[in-house]
Amino acid sequence: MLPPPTPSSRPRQRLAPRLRAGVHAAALAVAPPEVNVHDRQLVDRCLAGDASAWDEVVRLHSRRIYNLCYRFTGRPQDAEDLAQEAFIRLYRNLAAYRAEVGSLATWLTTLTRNLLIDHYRRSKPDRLTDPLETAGAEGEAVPLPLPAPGRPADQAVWGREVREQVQRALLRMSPELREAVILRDLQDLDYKEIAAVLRLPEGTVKSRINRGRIELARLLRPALGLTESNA
Amino acid sequence: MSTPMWSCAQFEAALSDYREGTLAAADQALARQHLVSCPACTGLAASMASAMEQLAALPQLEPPKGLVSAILAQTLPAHRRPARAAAGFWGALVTPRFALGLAMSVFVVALLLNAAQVNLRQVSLSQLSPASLTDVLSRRIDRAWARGVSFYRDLRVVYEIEAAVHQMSQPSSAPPAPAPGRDHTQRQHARAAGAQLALESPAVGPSQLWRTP
Repeated sequence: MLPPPTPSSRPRQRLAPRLRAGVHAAALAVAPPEVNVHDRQLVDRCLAGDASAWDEVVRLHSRRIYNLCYRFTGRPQDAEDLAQEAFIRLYRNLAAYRAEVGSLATWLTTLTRNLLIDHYRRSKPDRLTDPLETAGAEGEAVPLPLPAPGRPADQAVWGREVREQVQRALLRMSPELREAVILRDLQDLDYKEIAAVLRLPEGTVKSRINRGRIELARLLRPALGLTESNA
Repeated sequence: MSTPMWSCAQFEAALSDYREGTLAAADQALARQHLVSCPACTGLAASMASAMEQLAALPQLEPPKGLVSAILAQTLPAHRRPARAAAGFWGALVTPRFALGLAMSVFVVALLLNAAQVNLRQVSLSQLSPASLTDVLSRRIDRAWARGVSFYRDLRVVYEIEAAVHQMSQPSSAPPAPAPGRDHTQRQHARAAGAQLALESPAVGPSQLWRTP
């Protein structure tokens, strides 16, 4: 259990210098202040000690953050732990939120993304000994037999196997490309929001998303029964 | 003047924009022109379309049920948690599993107190001392065991079955003389003889026979 966040407990400049210098500056040009009025009010209520406001924040964003963590790590337990950690960090730094700089969702996504990258670096030794990762490094993708038409059970099994292959393919991508594709194609963030989260120029973000999609397509080709020349 | 053609690298770099239709009109035409002339890039574009279709089909997963409660428990102090979160703890107490566990605990404690002959209305510290409890429990166990053994031995059917088995294992009418020094065999012969006698004279009870030394 953490001490409640207080607006005046610490100076804002010392709370999140990275956020202030990076995310907030990047998001400044993209987020109209009027969009974040509700976020500002919600955070103010949290800081005033309104537990139901914090409850609302958690319930509003927990599903999206859990999905982000799961798609990035591929492990439910890690996703749960990281999602918890992300909200704890958010709670600790609520006083540093500036609505004029960006939405609460973007800020929370940034915190989560930082945690995911830290986790990725920390778990490197585990990945080297993980059979799934080893198989991925060797480029093994099993072609999936197409489902028999008119048989829903076959189609359901095929669909599940494809989803597993897609998740595996995501895990085989570099973290830079993976996060870009997840944020764009699974979290439905626009380029500007992704640029704010990743603290990158928009052009770099677009390039990464494009390269990530191409990488994913190449990884999934065998599983989907596609070759380089068939259309 | 002929229009310059795009290379595969140029097409790849613009593939997402081409798919999303965000290229300038001239670039869109160049991309289309390259696609017509390049089977490899046509295959790549088809693969990307298929991969993105599968990516879009990935479901939104439901987070674990305890995630929100765990986050609230680790952030808000207990007295500031909203009623919904607080209900999680009390809600867990009224689950069937907890109720059954509580009932079983009460039952076991009552059973043990009864076995130890502890009267809760007139309980004294001396009754609850380990030595006293052990002594009482030991006596009750011994008594129950003795009763059980006695009951079993007094069952006529047990005695008859044993007698019949013994008779089947001894074809001759006269039992062989027991070997000297083998008490167990001697006892078996004595039991068989007693069983034979009991069958012939029902006035003698089986318990009396069994208690014959």
